[in-house]
Amino acid sequence: MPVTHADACLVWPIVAPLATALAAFVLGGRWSTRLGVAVVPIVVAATAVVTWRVWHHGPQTYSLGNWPAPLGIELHADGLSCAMLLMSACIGAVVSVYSVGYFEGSTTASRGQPQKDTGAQFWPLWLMLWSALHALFLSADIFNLYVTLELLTLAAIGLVVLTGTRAAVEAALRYLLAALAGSLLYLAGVALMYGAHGTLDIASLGRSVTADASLQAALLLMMVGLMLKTALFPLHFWLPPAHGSAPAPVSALLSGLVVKGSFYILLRLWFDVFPQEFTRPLTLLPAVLGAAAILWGSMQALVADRLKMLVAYSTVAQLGYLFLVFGLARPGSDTGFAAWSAVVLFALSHACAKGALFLAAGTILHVAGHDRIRDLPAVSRRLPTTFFAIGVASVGLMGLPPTAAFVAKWTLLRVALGGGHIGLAVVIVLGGLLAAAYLFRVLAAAFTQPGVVDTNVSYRKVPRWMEYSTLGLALVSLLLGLASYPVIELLRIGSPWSPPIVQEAAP
Amino acid sequence: MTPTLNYALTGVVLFSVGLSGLFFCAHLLRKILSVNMAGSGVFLVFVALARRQPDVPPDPVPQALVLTGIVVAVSATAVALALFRRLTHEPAEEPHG
Amino acid sequence: MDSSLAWFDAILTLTLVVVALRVLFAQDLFQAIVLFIVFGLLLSLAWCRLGAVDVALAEAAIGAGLTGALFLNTLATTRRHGDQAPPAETIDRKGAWVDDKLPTLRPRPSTPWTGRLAFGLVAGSVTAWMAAVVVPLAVSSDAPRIAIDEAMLRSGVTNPVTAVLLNFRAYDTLLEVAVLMLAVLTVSSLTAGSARVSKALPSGPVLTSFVRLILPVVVMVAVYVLWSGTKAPGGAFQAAALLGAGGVLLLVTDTQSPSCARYLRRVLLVAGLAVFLLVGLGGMLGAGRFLEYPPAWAGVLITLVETVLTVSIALVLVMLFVGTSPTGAEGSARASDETPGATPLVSRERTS
Repeated sequence: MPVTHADACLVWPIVAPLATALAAFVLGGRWSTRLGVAVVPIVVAATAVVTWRVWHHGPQTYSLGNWPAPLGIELHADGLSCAMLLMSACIGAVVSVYSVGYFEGSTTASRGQPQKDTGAQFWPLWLMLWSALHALFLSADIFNLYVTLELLTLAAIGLVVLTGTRAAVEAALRYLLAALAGSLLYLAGVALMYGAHGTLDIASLGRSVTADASLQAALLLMMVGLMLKTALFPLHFWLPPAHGSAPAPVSALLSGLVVKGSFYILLRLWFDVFPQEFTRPLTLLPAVLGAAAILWGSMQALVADRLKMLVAYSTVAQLGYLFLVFGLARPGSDTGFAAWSAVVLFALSHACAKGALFLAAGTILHVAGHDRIRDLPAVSRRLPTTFFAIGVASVGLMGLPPTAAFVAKWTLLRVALGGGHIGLAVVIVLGGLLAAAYLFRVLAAAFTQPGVVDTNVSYRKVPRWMEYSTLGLALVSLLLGLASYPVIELLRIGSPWSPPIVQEAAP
Repeated sequence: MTPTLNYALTGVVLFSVGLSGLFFCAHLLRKILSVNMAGSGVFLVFVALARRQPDVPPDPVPQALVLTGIVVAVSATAVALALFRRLTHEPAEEPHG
Repeated sequence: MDSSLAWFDAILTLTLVVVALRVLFAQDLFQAIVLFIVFGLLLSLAWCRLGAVDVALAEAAIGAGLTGALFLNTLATTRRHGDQAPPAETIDRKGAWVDDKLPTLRPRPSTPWTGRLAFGLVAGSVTAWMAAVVVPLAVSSDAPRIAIDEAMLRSGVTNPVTAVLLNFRAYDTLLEVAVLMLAVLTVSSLTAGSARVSKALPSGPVLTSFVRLILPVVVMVAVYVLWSGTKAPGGAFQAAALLGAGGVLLLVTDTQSPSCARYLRRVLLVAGLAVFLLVGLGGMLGAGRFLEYPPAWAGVLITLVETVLTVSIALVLVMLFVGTSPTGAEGSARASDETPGATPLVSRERTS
């Protein structure tokens, strides 16, 4: 296909999974799995091409329908979008591989009861979720972001209820209502901003907004809405049941990627649209709530009795770290960029480690039929690879060197101390210790002899791919630490801290 | 009072009522009704503000956005109702299988 | 301004607010839902007064009509499954969260006053806060907007709303159709396996012949609404809502179950989105961009996309209706070509 616009590469991460989702839905059955796997390399390549373009030629903008903003909708890729795209591609690829084994089991190894083909339903939903994520990370239009948010939510809901259990349906409904409230608050902010400024394009808004009452209201509405969607304490009530009752690959996607979507929008609006003097009085609110989330989520993880719930509460805690950015990153200062890029790096690292942990929990559940933490020692003998993966992912979550989380936390700590935020610094350290404490509850199982070997429990065989993909993702979280420097350089491209880049002519 | 002000204020009231209803109403169906109402409130603000100058035709962009919003809202409502139906039916269907 | 119209506006908006409050506080759920439908119809009057006729059509057809039908269906299903039409109180307890952890105050039936007071305080303060922002915006003469006049000439249509929906911001609409698809996927995965065939309405000769009479009219009106959408209010979504309503009528009266093969149904469901995507990708051929239409072809391509969208969306709407309805046509169709009496529970993740 003769494509003359090099920046057309921005379209493919969105269109490829979407088109495949349609085909997978129509053909159904085994074809959905085949198509789902076949599109993985295409999506990974597409995100790599976008990143390559941004790395070499600076931020890319693509006017859909050849209608430039503000009339049309533009796709925009800068370093931040690319980092998010790469995260999504990486976790999406691993989860796809894992899901082949996971849902294969659901059709062949049925235990006496007739089952609907969960796998055939999984693939179209997951591919649409993937497409929605990429659409969100690439959108440069605040109303289009609302549509992508809704697409993301509905895809996530569809995936949560795949198990069909009562707990999952209830969690999904709670999740849906919370998410709808969040998007309505966001949409109200969009309405005010359009009413006041007559544009929906992020870049034009960033240039034209002035600090007035309508903007303040819009900021508050959008902030609360997006905090609800990102499950920031105390608006996290919907997250643990939804992430804890979804099928394991779905939990990995929800905790690793989906919550990052709404966080990304908040990050983008906060630093790209709203003027600095405007956000300054509000910086403390998300940061303090973030600190509270770290403590509360960790406490809940310490007392959880199921592995998946422990991991879900750990997500509540780790999301708290992300919100520290609003308290620590000052636009226009060097430490500001350090804190901002550290938080994004932390988000990437968390996505990999948490994804691996949820996949591991899913494997345990698949094999043993339960995920009770006190009964884990009996399982650990059978799944050495999975427990090794849990160990590696835990290192990433605790933030030990040489992981990216360590680099990120270290930077945050330095910025917090430098800015005189002693309270936040204490919480950053304490959060790491608490994470170590709750993760050791799981790790201990690998080194404990099972007290009584229960012969009544029948263990299912586990496809090798499930274990290896989990380990692979855990290792990525470890290796990300070594790649911190290039990631931070990537983030600098087009960030509010970078000097404006003169767009080079396309080769 | 201009129509814009009248309808924009009504939108604000509906948004607040719907949002409060979502939090205060105990019954799930009423929560879902509340979300729909709050959505209508936002749409009303959107379109009312598009008609601030009575002598020129109204801005079509918010109208198109609201059309999109209505379709998104009905999709979300259908999913919420299907979940609700499943939740209230589960005990009744259990002995069936 | 005409003072009688100002009075009309004032009364309409006051009624809207009162009806909205009644929806939340009416004792009976059935009453609440009927009031919600009334609310939707009043709202479409409001859209007309604001000059948004496209929105008015969509609100009446989708906002009030379809959404109302979905609610009524759900309520009917809930009551059917309880012990012969339980009173509202019972449904309330059944439908409320079982182990509620939502950090909210909620009115208990025994103390309605505290609940309503809290509700009033919250709603009142949110209103006051937002009104303080919206009022200055609404009265300011400075109304910035996106300029479309020049681009309209190249849009291929003359109705500006259609131009925005299917040309300038076609990407939003593409994703919106994907949202509808997702809703269908989720709803049908939730209802699959619940084989319970029972008609919503008792079909008699009168009803049957009424449906046979009305259906061609519905189809004709839908075609007209679709066709006129390029230059006057109307378009794919409104036409689809009409067609969908016709489909629903067919289903509930069961004159002729539209029994098409699962495969064909799937193809029709995705056809709208698929054609939209293909047309969008076609724009990339040559020197164009995704979703770009050559000005000479814009009108034709938009009509093509809209026509296919209408069929797909109508089917989507019918399937959404079926998904929440006690008829369970989708469920019976699936159950018959899979294991009969299949329980929809995939219990592998159920932890004991």
